[in-house]
Amino acid sequence: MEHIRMPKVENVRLIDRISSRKAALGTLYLTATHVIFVENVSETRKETWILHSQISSIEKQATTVTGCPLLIRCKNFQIIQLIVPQERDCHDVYISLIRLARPVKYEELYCFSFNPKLDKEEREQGWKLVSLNEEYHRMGVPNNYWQISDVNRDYQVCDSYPTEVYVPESTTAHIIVGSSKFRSRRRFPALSYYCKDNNLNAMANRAAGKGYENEDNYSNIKFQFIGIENIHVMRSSLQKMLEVCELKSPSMSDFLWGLENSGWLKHIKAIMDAGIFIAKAVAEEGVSVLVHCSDGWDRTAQVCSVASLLLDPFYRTIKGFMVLIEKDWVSFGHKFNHRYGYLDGDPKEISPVIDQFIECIWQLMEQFPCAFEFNERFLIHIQHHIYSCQFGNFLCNSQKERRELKIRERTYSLWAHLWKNRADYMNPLYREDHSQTQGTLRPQTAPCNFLYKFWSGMYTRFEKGMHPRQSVTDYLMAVKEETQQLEEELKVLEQRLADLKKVQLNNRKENSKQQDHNTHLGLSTSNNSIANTPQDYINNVKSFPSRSPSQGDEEDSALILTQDNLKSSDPDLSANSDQESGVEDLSCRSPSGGCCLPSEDSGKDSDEAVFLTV
Amino acid sequence: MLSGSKNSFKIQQHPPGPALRGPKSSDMNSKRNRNGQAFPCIPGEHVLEEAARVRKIVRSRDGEGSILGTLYCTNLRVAFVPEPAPGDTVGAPRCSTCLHSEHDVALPCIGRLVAVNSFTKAKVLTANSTLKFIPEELVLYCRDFRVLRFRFRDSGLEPRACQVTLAIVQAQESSSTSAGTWYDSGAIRNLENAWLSTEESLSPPTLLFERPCDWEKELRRLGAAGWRVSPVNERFDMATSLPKYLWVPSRLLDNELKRAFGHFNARRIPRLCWHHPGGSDLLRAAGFHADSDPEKEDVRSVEALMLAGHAQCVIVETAADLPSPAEIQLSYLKLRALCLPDSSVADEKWLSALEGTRWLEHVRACVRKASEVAALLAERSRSIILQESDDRDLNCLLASLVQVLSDPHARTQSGFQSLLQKEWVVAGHPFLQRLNLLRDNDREESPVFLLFLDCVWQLLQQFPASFEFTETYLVALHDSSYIPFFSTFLFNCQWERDRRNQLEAALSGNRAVYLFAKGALSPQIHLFPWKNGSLSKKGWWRAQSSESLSEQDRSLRSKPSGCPLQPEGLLLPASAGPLIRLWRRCYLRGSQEVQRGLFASTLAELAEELDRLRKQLGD
Repeated sequence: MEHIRMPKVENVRLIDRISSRKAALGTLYLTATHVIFVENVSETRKETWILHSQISSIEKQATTVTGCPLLIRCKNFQIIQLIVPQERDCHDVYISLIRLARPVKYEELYCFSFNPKLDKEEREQGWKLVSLNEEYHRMGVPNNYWQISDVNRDYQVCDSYPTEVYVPESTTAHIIVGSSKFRSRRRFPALSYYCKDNNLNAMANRAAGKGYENEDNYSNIKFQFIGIENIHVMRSSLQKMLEVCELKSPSMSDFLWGLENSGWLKHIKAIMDAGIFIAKAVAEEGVSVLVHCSDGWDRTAQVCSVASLLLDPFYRTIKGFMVLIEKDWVSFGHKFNHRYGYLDGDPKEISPVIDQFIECIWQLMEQFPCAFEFNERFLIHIQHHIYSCQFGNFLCNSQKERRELKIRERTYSLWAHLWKNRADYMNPLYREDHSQTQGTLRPQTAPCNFLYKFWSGMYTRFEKGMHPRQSVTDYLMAVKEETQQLEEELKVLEQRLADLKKVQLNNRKENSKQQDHNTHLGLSTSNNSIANTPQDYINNVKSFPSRSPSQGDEEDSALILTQDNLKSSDPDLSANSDQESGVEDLSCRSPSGGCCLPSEDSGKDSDEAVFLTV
Repeated sequence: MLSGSKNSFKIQQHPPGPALRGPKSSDMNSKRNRNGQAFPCIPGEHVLEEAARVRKIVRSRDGEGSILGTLYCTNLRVAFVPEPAPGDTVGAPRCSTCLHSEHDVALPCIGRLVAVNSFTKAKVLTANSTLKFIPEELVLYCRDFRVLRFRFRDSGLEPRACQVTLAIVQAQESSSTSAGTWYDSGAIRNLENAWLSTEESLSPPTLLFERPCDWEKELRRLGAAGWRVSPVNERFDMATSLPKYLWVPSRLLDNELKRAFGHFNARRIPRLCWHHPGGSDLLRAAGFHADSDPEKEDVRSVEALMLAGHAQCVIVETAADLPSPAEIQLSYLKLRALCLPDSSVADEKWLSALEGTRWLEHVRACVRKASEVAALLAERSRSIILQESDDRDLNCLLASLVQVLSDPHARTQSGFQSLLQKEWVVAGHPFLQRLNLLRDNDREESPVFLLFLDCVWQLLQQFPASFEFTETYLVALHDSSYIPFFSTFLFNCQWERDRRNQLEAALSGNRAVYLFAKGALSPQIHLFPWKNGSLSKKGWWRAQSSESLSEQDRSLRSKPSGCPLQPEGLLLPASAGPLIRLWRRCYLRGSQEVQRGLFASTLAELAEELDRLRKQLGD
């Protein structure tokens, strides 16, 4: 491992962020993919695993008598504070991590070494789980108004668009090419969402064009400017909010002032309001909407996907939400690599664009608790994996790049993985036939702080003692599953009873003299203790088949837990009880070959507001 | 029986059987209005004035809407009865026995009355004010955070608008001067008796702690072997503000006990609140009466009372770290102004304005202190005394909050109600003064009880599976405290309750506060303020203020496993800033937008669900 100067350091202390006195003594390992801290306490050997791709910053602080402190901040909002006894070791770890956290080529990323032990066919099936063809078909296109165009085959017109795009029926290739010329990066207008319930020619549309459209060029249109700030403002807003979360024991005024000064909730509201505006225009006024920002891959993606989710209940299901991200974000060239910093690049390109979208959905879930098939954990895990680079879905900046890298042959799909574990992500309150889940969601547009809340479950989820101790969702799921089990059992027993009666009847008829010897057929019921109080469920939740987070070995269920269960970013590794060998295994893998893709976009995001044309 | 409605709460007769409903409805002395519609008065209530075809303004997702109906002013409340919509087949359930619905407000609950006319400035109305214009709109700002708006027809030319407005002003005014008779009005007593009779059929019942058997029963439940129920104050001749019965150490005889009273403010001696299964005892007491001159025997009694047989006694200065009632009131007024729908605070300044109210900081301080005391109780066997100068405000809050954290029984509905009876009602929290339902002394007003409910709500957020009751129940309790239809919150102490009409403030108490040096559980040598206050060589400690605790101590206290006596179900809540939240459902009641998402279903949705279920049944 060329970049690892120091594969193992002993007597390192992991600081408990609530109380610095409770530091855990252990050994720190650096591998090709993870930083691993293993506690010395022999019975537990508690492990903390951190993926290199999750590291957002490393800070070496001034050496004290106890050693040299190292602060690691992660993109999933975890903060790890270590104290390395020797300054020199600390420096080596620091230098190694700086390099490891900023790979220069895609092949160094975890997804190329991650192996969930699936065969080729399973891998292919996984990638087929989310199909955009199916999705456009579901929307009802192609039809009389919209047709599929092959104008972008081989990415001839726009290299950040998918090969298959839907355009108005009357459009010729000539018009598309012409239209692309006066737009930023030739990102011409293409269909994002078609509202088939509305028989009018109504659809949400996406497009891009640096600056703003000139009204004189169009007739029968209406402009609507919507003030969503650019990626730089958003980045610093998140930064400010995280500074508050990082405080050791934030007081009420630290927290409230900090949250207000960050402006974060205000930005969330701006995105929501834009989404609500579009959904309303499409659903109620039955008009077509053209959404664009400077490049059409950040704010446009946020706003279009929020609007689609408000309009169409399908996107509020587990499968539908995957489709939505695949459609509006992945296929339309949201620059995942630049925004989430997979490869070493311009730090000014980094911005929590999709994080904001995910938070918008959480805020909606708070307002419409029965409207979503999935729960908060689903969102948190998606956020985690957008940064983890464990799956290939989000790599690169466009479909074109992903095809060139042969992502589908060399990595696995996150969607298949989440789908396999979907039982963990079910919202027990979801009701398919409920009025909330049907049709358009109409969120309130009350003052920001009346509606939008700080998402503690996301931003402070690694803080011990910060997240609520009991999860209502888990209890409800446990209750629901128990009910289901009991009902199934009831069915079995009823069936059995019926059978027994039949047997008895037959016996009596055919063999009336014989003594009834059927009594030994006694029922064998499973030993289900029935929980009567919430307190009972506290204990039961653990033993329930529902993958509650306390079971923590499954890689994902550990994400929302504290460090205790974090070992698990790789199921293979967490299964391996022998630490040392697991570590060595990994460190053999050395990334090699491939060249760094140059940052193809200088990305001066201009400050114009997103605006919509109606 | 409490049931939530869209943005308010109905306190409804619990229908255990038909027996209760029968006589009630026949008691109704209904008054018919012009439309032939009856206004369902409760016994003892009569309509003073009414105005038909008034529009009640409601905000909904589609903006502002209104409901047409009749506005009544009675001697007890302002009520609005919507007209049945044409083709209203559902026959909206108008429960006639509702004491409080989203359309009603009890007179003492009205905080401010404003008359609006588009030609003049809005006018705040008081009994002395004259109305120089016919109002177009009447706005009632309620003390339970609701805002009711009524618009009169004929835009300011409706003569009845004036009459009903003035009637409301008068009624509200007279309700405060004659409110001493609230409890005497047959209405309340009837209702309460009916309520109590239904209560008896419920099991387990709420202990009211008015009779010795309740005290005995609870003491047995706690398994507090070294304690007995003393009837020493049965005639209130020891202390008027204390309950009739006290839990005191078994080995202390009543005549020894009597020696202690004189040396505490308002004669409120230390007595047991709760016994930890691991052996610790939680006591509460008023501050030492500095001017008393105790004899040696007296000091011995006081000592015995405080140590309660333990080797170590920790004194917790309740007032340290916690806000005073005056600070709570100030904070509450700011919070109420901020949460009004017409609050002028800009959206982007709202959070700092919320911070400026200090309300959440107060909540946080209480939660924090309570969990520290709970951890101390669990740490080792000792006696812990909560000492507050007059033992009637924050001691009520802290003593009950500690029990909610430590005792799972206090988290059941009947356990919680028993707790409220024991630590608030009979312990002499001056509800009448603090809620200021009579408006006779604004200076004493302070929503200490609301602060407590907010703290419990915070715990409910952090430990949703540990409580038998819901948020709805807490909101209903809060609302009930502003409706003088139950005697629970109508008195300052048990003695007053017994004398019914005694409405003078019982005591203001000696407010001398003894300041002790702070130090983490610092040993105390000079505990008593008296010259000849000698001390035995037992362990006297003083709990340190939480904000200055050293890291080590805090971690000790925040770590449940560090508590060897930890009973099943000890809750130790987190109190970091991001985890203390605004109780939106209670405080943002004026904002329909907020409420919509917070309630599971609207009436329409319920009706829809009913349909669906019917269909399923049909299948």
